[in-house]
Formats: sequence, structure tokens, C-alpha cells
Amino acid sequence: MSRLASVLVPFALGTALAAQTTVFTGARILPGGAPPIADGVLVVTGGRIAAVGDAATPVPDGAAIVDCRGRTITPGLIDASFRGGAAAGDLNEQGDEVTPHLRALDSLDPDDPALARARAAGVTAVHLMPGTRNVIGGLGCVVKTAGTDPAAMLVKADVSLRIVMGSEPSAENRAIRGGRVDSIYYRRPTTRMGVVWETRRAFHEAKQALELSLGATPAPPDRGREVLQRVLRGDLTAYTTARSEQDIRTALRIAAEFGYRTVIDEAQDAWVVADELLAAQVTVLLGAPSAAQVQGSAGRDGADPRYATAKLLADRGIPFVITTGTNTAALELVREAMFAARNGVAPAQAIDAVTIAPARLLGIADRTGSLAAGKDADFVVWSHDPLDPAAVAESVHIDGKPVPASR
Amino acid sequence: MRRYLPLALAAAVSPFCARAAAQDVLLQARRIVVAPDAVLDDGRVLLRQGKVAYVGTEVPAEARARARRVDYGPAFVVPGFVLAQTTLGHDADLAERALPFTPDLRAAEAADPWQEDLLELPRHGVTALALAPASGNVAGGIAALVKSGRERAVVGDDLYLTLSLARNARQAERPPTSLMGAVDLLRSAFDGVRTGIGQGPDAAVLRQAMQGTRGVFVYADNFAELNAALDLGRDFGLRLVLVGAAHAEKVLPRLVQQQAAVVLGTLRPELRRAELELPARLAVAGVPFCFGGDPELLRQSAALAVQYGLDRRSALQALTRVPAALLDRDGTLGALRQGHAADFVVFTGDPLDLSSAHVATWVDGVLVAGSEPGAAPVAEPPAAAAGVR
Amino acid sequence: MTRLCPIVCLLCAALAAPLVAQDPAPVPAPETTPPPAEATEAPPTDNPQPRRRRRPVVVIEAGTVHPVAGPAIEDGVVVIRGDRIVALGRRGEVEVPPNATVRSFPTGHVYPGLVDAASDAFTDAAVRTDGSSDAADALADVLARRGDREDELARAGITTAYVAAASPALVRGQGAIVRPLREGFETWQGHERAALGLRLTGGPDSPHALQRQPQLQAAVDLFDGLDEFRKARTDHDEALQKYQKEFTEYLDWHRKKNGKDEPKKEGEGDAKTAPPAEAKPDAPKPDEAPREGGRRRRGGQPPREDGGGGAAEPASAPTVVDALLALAQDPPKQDPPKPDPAKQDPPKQDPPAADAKPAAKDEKKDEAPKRPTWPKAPPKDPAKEALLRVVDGELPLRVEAHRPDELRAALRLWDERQIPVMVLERAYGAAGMANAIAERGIGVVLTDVWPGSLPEAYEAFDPVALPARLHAAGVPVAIATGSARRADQLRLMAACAVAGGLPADAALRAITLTPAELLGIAADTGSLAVGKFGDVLVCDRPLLQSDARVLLVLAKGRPEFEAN
Repeated sequence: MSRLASVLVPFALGTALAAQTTVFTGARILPGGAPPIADGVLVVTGGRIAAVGDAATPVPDGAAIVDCRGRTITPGLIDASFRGGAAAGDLNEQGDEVTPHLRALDSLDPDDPALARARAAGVTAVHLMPGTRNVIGGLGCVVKTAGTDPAAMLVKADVSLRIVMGSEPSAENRAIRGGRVDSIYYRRPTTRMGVVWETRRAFHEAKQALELSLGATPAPPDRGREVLQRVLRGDLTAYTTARSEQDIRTALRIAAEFGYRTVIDEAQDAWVVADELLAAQVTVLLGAPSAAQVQGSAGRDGADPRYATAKLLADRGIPFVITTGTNTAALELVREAMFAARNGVAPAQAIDAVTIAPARLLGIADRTGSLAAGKDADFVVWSHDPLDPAAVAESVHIDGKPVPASR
Repeated sequence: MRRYLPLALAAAVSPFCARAAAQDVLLQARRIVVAPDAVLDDGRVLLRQGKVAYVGTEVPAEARARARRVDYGPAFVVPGFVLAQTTLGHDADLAERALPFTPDLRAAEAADPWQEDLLELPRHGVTALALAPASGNVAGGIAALVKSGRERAVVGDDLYLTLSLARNARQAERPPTSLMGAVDLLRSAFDGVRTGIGQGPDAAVLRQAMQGTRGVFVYADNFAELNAALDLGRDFGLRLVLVGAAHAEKVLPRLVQQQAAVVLGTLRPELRRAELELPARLAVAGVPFCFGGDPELLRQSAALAVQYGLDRRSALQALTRVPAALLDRDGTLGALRQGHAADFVVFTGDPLDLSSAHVATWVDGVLVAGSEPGAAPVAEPPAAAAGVR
Repeated sequence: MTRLCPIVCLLCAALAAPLVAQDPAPVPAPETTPPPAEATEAPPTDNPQPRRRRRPVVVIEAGTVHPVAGPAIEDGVVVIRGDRIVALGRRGEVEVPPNATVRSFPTGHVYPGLVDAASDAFTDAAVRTDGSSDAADALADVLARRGDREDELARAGITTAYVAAASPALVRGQGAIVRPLREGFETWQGHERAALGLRLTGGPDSPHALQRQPQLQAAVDLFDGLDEFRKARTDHDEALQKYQKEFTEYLDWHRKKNGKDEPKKEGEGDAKTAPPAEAKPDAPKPDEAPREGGRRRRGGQPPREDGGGGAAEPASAPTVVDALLALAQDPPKQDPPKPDPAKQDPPKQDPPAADAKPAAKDEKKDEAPKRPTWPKAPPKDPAKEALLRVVDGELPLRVEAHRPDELRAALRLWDERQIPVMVLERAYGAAGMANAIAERGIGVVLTDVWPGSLPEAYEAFDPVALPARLHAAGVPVAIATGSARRADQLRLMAACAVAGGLPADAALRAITLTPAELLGIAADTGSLAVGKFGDVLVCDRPLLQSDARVLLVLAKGRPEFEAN
């Protein structure tokens, strides 16, 4: 306890003086995407990392020294598919099933308890996407997990377009069979076919409009269509949520059909379609590898998760990122990485799969995801190796500022 | 000039009003609050043609001869309270449920001058209010200015625009159902106006809002809603007033930075302590605020705020000058300065002490509730009589 | 029995826990309260008695002291020793003990701690009791729990509150008087059952007077059959006494006949089977001395198989119990109790008085007297018992009645059943019958003295003007919050009542002395007077002003809230 206090006290000073240099010494540093440093030194100045290196790294004069012997420092974790961050219902616009232009950022509630929980568990940035109730939900963004102003928390806006396969987009819809139609839930799609049809129609119209606009008369602007056209042009990556084998194949097929780049989100059945995934050269977001079954609203999608999936993806060389995803049974992100490691993924790769790999995928690796000079000082001091089940995030730093580790 | 039409009508129909309005009145009381920071002890106010013609301690010679004297003795006189936003409990009539986006609807069309709540207003010290479209629509419409008193009602139909990001606006069985949907609806509408695509009466209203000629009141309660409202205000240059704003303490720096104002809901003692202390915090931060909601509890809200740390001066401002300014009527309402409307309320003591009882309310120089000193009370609903000592 | 003992002890300890917390550290010996007069005259330094444990003395000096019971004292002083006020007066005229802690508020205003005559002390719906159960028991458990707004009452200056279970039942149980503390509440010992609540209203949702009639009549009918109940009880008491006498005779006869040891064996089997096991049910008679912790548990104990006798508890009836104890302890292993055909009495059908006769006859012939039968207890009915106490004037009846017809029914109840002490709660529609209420000496507790606080169905009632109307007619009026969430509102409501026409001093009395009188605790609190508890509220301005801040709250002389 007293050691913990000695760790925390200088932080309080550090926040008072923004330009203050703080040096973390003696820890084992896992920089992310680079070999570990046994007796490492991390120099933080003004919210950014000034230097990372071994014990020989020069310590600036007047710097506050934090002794981290026996600790492990990793980059702040990045959850590339995060459930929460907004009030329930605010991430699903039920007025329409295809809403490509809606921004999850607009619903972000910095006070959301899920953010606080993630933060306390060492997650410093999350990829917040619209919910899974729409066929095409809208635009995702990456935000830091601490802050009061969404604009200040934002790392990158419009990083993804969420498309959802499977049963969720049709889950509560009712077909119009006469009677009073006084609910917006009387609508398509009510089947998986309908979901696919809606996706295809949206892209088809976008593509048609794109081809037309090359001609003399530009089509009238449509903000949703413009977003889809960005996907078609390759300026924006689609994140297709597809859990079961069937849905993953569909996702790959539509992407190939319209020629856009996609990431497969959730992908519990990836072990069945590894060949296709490899051939399509897609990245896989593996949601909650610790879960023995898919729980929550997607439970009836029919996916059959296996503990060995992560190792299989690693062995086959399919790029993957570990997330918590939509599964309500998901553990903390670091525990999911631990789980993957215990099921055969190399420890370094497991850590990378929650730090530098998602950062690269989301296009934010220039700011966070690894410990390197010039990057944001987002890092976590762990009591043990983060893949040790006893590991606790003793202190979590976002932009150099410690955030409350507990609660 | 439209607002004086009802006055003329009133004078025509009521002999009492005709007498009162025609003759000058010299008002006298132990303490007259001209404005929250200008208090006259043993002052005089000369009322002429429904307006304040003179304020001071000396009686002008010309008035001495002609004016009728009204001396409230030991009582307090304060400017009439202004309610910057209310639906008078008629939300259903003030939100078009079928459509989420109706910026060009006018609340004036829903104002019934014989509505009971309206007739009760003078008893609660409210002399002017803005009847606003309710929070059920993402863009609700345009608020109306109403003056209390029996024969007059709507005196302006073209006040501010109301928008809503509150939960109410996205709970109907129609799009939008989410905060991001509501935000997107507004953003695309404003974008459309900016790029010139949007046309028609609704676009005209939005354009005025973006040009700053029309205030924008946004219903927003929690952190996410308030942030979204502030974003909209910043991106489109709106003159922003946040309505409800129960969690305004969380966006305090942004409120200050964007010079947004706040209309708080009715304060009730059972609210969270943070909410009860919010007025005091806003006052310290310099955010202009006033109270909206239930007119009956307007004075009680201010008194509760005082109990939870608000200074009396700011509390009185929140009842008078701030709301008048938010309605762009600070030249005529919210004070008893020369040229302002002769709207005032008489209490037995400081209105911010709940032990002070209401004595009388005057609107446009005419007694509309309570009594004149030494005279029988103006006929009013029987329940009211018991409330006056 | 030995097995049961710890359980009983635990139970008692658990029940007593909140009570024990009442007199913690600083004042360890509150029992020896000196007569107030002596204390005023003789400060402890002059007291020649040596080694007497000295209790802390707190002196409050303030610009104005409002004792409520008398005129305001400018530049006043309140002296509190231990938990009681020992002196009160102008500064300079009251002797201040030299080692006293002096708290000075040169511009402050001192009031007695406020008394909230109706609160819920944050008891939530989960603990709301039905009509039959006892609010005090439920509250004791709940009040021990801590919530995040637990100091809300103390910081609002409330030092005493009456807490009743909110229940829709007609008889809603008995309320307790609690003392709000810095952390949580304690129940006021001896006032765990301070009143019986009766809900004589359908609430705002019962729209038509005719719909309400059955319920109103049911309330009057509640008091039917009380006489029978009382008779059954007194009969039972008599029978018990008789039983005691006869059993003693029975034992004596055997003792005489068989010398010391023999009758034990015979009697032992009997004693094992019936009497010790049933000896308990006479414990919860209302007038009996309470057992451990001063609390009684209703319902008694189940009969025990291992009839070891009440070895742990010396009960109040010495002769019988001592004899039984002797019997029960001495002879060890006599496992099968002898069924004695001669003594196999036919008790079930016979009332005890009847089967006592043969015993008397037996004695005359000097034959072995028949072993008397344990008289069967009449059925338990806590509600009736409580109603009996109400009728006897031991317990005030608090009747919640809103509308005029409900209030009239309450008055009818008072008339027809001669209720000695009645208090009306939430009598919103009482304005028209103020005189009728005053004539009967009924007190009124008003909540919601706040404009717009009543539901729409009660639109016709003016809650703000009501206190003034009742006061003018001479009704004792207390203003109460009704909910702990509104603790802060108590003084605002008093201010509202002033706006409604209530004189300011009456408004102050309505949140201090009047509720204390209605609760029957005016001897201990409710005003600043020598001999009362040191319940003191210090504000920086007159209490009824909106911006008055609570600076200090003392309860029994201990600070429960202090502004930083």
C-alpha cells in the first residue's frame, strides 16, 4: 500500500505542472510491436512520451522519478469493438434500417459507467460504433476513455462504417400483415435475407449514384449515400459484424461483390472459415475469445465460438485484434488477451492484439497503441505481467495524466 | 405595436381598467426594487399609459396634482416576474407528435387566453411569459410572448425557436429514436440551410437562428444531450439557451466559453443536492440563468436556490432581468425603469423569503390580482383569497 | 434450552444494538441526571462532591436565542451539561462554568432542534410493513442500515422525528420516535411505539365519496369487539393468577406428603411436558418489565422439546418459576414423561376457572390435589392490543385523513369511540371544520405546506393557508416533512405557512414545540428550557429566511452537524 502511495503522490504533482517531466524507472516495459525492455525507463513530458529505453536512457534534470520496480508497463489498451459509452438505445437509430451517416460520436456520454470500468481496467482508447440494431448503423469513432468533452476525447472520427449481418437487425421487426400500422417496427427486414438485401440495395444505389455522378448531371446529395460511396472508393473501411460461419461468408461475399474493404467484427466462427478469411486478406476482430457462447442479443445467430480460434488465426497468419465486442459475457480486455495467450497465442502477440494491432487497424498508430517517443502518453502500470491473472492496473495514464485506477 | 392592441381592447371592455389606465398612478411603498441592483427606499413610481414614467424618491410636481396615489406602506414592490419558458402543463398541445421536425410551428396558435393556468398567473407574480413548444419534437417551433392579466394574452408570436435533444423527443414511435439520430437530423437541416439546399418556411426559421436574429432554446438534460446541444451551437453560431439542464454543472466550462444561458426547470426540494446547488454554481461561474417550468412554483424555485447558496441579487435577476433579456425584451420587461412596462408585484416582504405573502400584481399599470391598499381585492378565483392576508 | 440461549441473546443484542448506540463515548453515565435547579445554581467547580465523573459543558452564545417557549432573548446564552440544558438566559446573567466549551455566534440565531412530526427516515418500500406488524421492529433493522443521505435530517436541524411505516392498510402499525444523527438514526428508548397509525383515506385515487364510505365505516368498526378482547385478556390474567396459586398448593401438598425428594420425580415429568415450555406466553403482557435490551418480541417463543425450563431468564413471578426451576434442574434423566392417568386433566374444553374447583375439593379431603391446568391464552391480536392501548389513552391515535368526508369520519370515530388522544395527519381538507377539530382538542400534523404539492384531485385545498386557518381556530398545528427527502424543506414550509397567514412565532412553534407535544415528548425537547435535552439549532439568520444557513446542530449536547 505504501508503495502504491509512493507511486501516486508524484502524479498529483504532475497534474499540477503540465509541462513537468515524469520518469518511470525500473519497470519491465512492453512497448507494443517491439521487444520487451527488462529494466526500462519511460520519460513523459507534457502529456507525450519523450523517450523509452533501457536503464541507460538519460533522465532529464528536475524530473519527478517514479520507481516502478517489479511492475510492468504497457501501452494503454485499445478496445477495437466496445459496447457502451452511450445511454442504452442512443446508439441504435430505429427510424431507419440503413443509416450510414449517423455518428456514434453524437451519442457519446463521457459519464457512461462502462467507460469508467474500461478505463480502470487499463483501456485508454475505445472504438465506439453505432449499435447492432441496424443493417448499416453508421460511423464509428475512436475516443479516449477519459474526459468530459467529446471533442477533446476524440482521437479519430469516422474511422469505420458498421454493417451488421445476422439476426440482430431483424430481431424486433414485425412484418406488415394488416391491422394498425402504428409502429416503426412494422418494417423490413424480418429475415437474414432481408438484412442482406438491405445491405446490397444500399450499396447498389450508392454505386449507381457514383457512376451517374461521373457523368454530366450530379445526383442530388444524400449524406448516407455519400458515406457508402466513400466505402466504395476505399476511403473508409467497413466493419461488418458477422458471427456465424454463414454471416462471415455473406460479409465477405458482399464486400467482394462491391469491391470494398471490410473488417470482420466479432467473427466467433472464424475457425470454420479460416481459408476464406485468409484468401480475402481481411482483419478479424475476435470478440471475447474467453466466452464459451455468444450471449446477449446475438445469441441466436448460431455462432459456435471455440477457445482455440485465436491460436488458429495466429497460426494461419490471419491478422486479428482482440476485443470485448457485443458479447455480454466478455471479460475485461486484458483478461481476454490473457485468455488468448493461455490458449496458445504467443504472449507478445496477445499484447499486440490489444495495443498496436488495433491502433494500426484504426489508423491511430501515430498517436497511441505503442510506447515510442512522440506518441501520446497513454500507458498502464500493471502490478504483474498483464497476462498474469493477478495483474491489476495500478495506475492508468491518458495523455500523461493519471486517471483514477479504481471504480 | 401589436402588443398594445389587447390593452386597448381591455380598456374598452372593462370600466375598471379604463379608469385605471387613463389616470396616472403614483405608486409608493417602503421598498421598491427598480432592478435587482437598484433599490429605492421610500420611493415613488409614476405610472402613465401602462408604462413607468418616473422613478425616484421625490414626487414630481406635475404628478402631485393629477395622479391617483397608491401607497402600499411597508410592502416590497418588485418588477413582475418573467417566465422565459413554460408550456403551462399543456405539453400535448405544444408538440406535434406526428413529425419530429416542425421549426415553423407557432406556439401562439395553441395559446388559449381563457385557459385557467393563464388566469392564475398574476397570483404567482408572473406578469409575462414565453409559451414555448414542448420538448417532444426535435425542432418544436416558435415560442409566443404572453402577458398575464385577464383580458390580454398573446402579445408576440415570434420569439425564440425551440429544439429538443431530450429523451422526450426520441421516445415517440417515429424517427429519430436515438440521440445520434436527433443530432444528425438537426445537423443536416442546418447544413442544408447553410449550403442553400434547404428552402421553405422551416429553413427560413433556421436561417434566422444561424444569423443570430432568433434565439434558440434547446431542451437538454444530461451530459450527452448538453454536449450535443453545445456542439450544435458552436458549429452553427446559435444564440444558445439550454432548457432543463439538470446536469449543467458537468458542462460548466463550455457554458461559460460559449456564453450559453440556462433555463432551469422547477426546483423541488426532493431533487438531488447537485441540482439544488446548481443555480448557485451557475451564478458563481457567471452563466446567465433563470427558472422555467411551473409558474406556480417560480418564486419557490428561487427561494430554494437561495437556501442552497444563491445570493439574493442573482435570484431576483433570475426572476426578472435574465428572462427578459433571454426573450430580447429587456428594454420593456424585467425592471421598473423609465419606459419599461408598468408590471410589478407587491409582497409583504422580500419575495425570496417564503414567509412573504403576495399582495398585488399589476400589469401594464392595471391591478390584475390582489388588492389596492385600503380597497377590496379584485374579484378573483375564490381559492386565491385565502392566500392573501 | 442451553442451545436456545445464545440465539435469544443474539436476538436481543441485535434488537438492542441501535439503542446501545444511543449513549456513546463522551457521556458514559447519563442515568444520574442531577435535578436541573441544583445544576443551575451550583457549577461543578463549586460542587464539593469529589471524583464525580464530570460531564462536558457546552455553552452557546448567540445574538438571539429563541426558546420558543418564551420570548426571544437578545444576546443570550444556553448552557448544556451532558445531554441536558442546565441554564438559559442573557449573557452575564447566567453563570458560565469555567471549563466549558464556549461556542460563540455573535450574530447567530439559536433555536431548539426541530421536531419533524412525520418522516420516513429513508425507509424504503422494501421495509414498509403491513398493518399488523410493528413499525418499530422493522425500523430498528432499517435504521441501522446506512444510506448516502443519512445525515440529511441532522443537517437540516431536525433532532427528533416521528417515523411511521407507510402502508396502504387501514391499520398501518405503530410509529417510532427517532433521533437523527450524523450517521443514521437511533430510536428513542421508550418511544419505539409512539403512536398507532390509522389510514382513514383512499388517497387521491378514490374519486367518489360513496366509494370511500365502506373504508371509513371499517375504521369505526375496528373498535368493535375490543371489550370482548379485553375481557378475554383479564380473564386470562385472573386464570393465570389462580393457576399460580393452585400449582403452589399442589406442590406444597406433595412436598408435605413425601418429604423433600420424592415429589420432584413425580412433578418433574409434568413440569417438563407442559408448564416450563408454556411459561413464556405470559411474558408479553404489556405491563411487564421488559426483558434484555428493553425490547420485547411479539409472538413469543415456540414450545421447546427439550423442556429444560427458562433457566437463563429470571422471570417476574418468583414463586412458581423458582419452584419450576428447582424441579427442572435437579432430576436429570427421566426421559419418558410419565403419563399419569389420574392427572390427565380434561382441560381443553373447560375454562381454567372450572377445573380449579375440583382441586379445591380435593384439598378439603386432603387427597392429592388435582394438578391444575395451564389456562389457555386468548388468541393474539397485536392490532387489537394496540387499539386497547389507544382506547386507554396510552397511545395516541394518528389518523391520516385528507378530504372533508374522511375527516368527518375521523371526528365521528373520536366521538363514538371516545378516543382520548387523536392526531390528524395530512388533513388537507380541514379548513372548513377547524372549529370542530379545535373543540375536540385534536392536534393536526400537516405536510405539503407548499404550493402546488398536492395531487390534482385535491386542487380545491389550499395547503399553504391551512395552518393559519387551523391555528386561528385554536387547533395545535405541527408542520412536518412527511419524507426524509424533504428534510430541508421543513423550515421553508413553515415560512410558506407564514405567507398563508400564520403568525411567525406560531410557525416556529409548529416545527418545534407543538410536534413535541403531539408526540408526548415535550418534557424532553421542543423548546429551549432548563431540564430539556440539549437539542439546539444555530443559524446565521432568522430561521424562516431563505438564506439562513445551519451553522451547528447539537442533539443531546453532541454536535451532529457543523457547517465548515
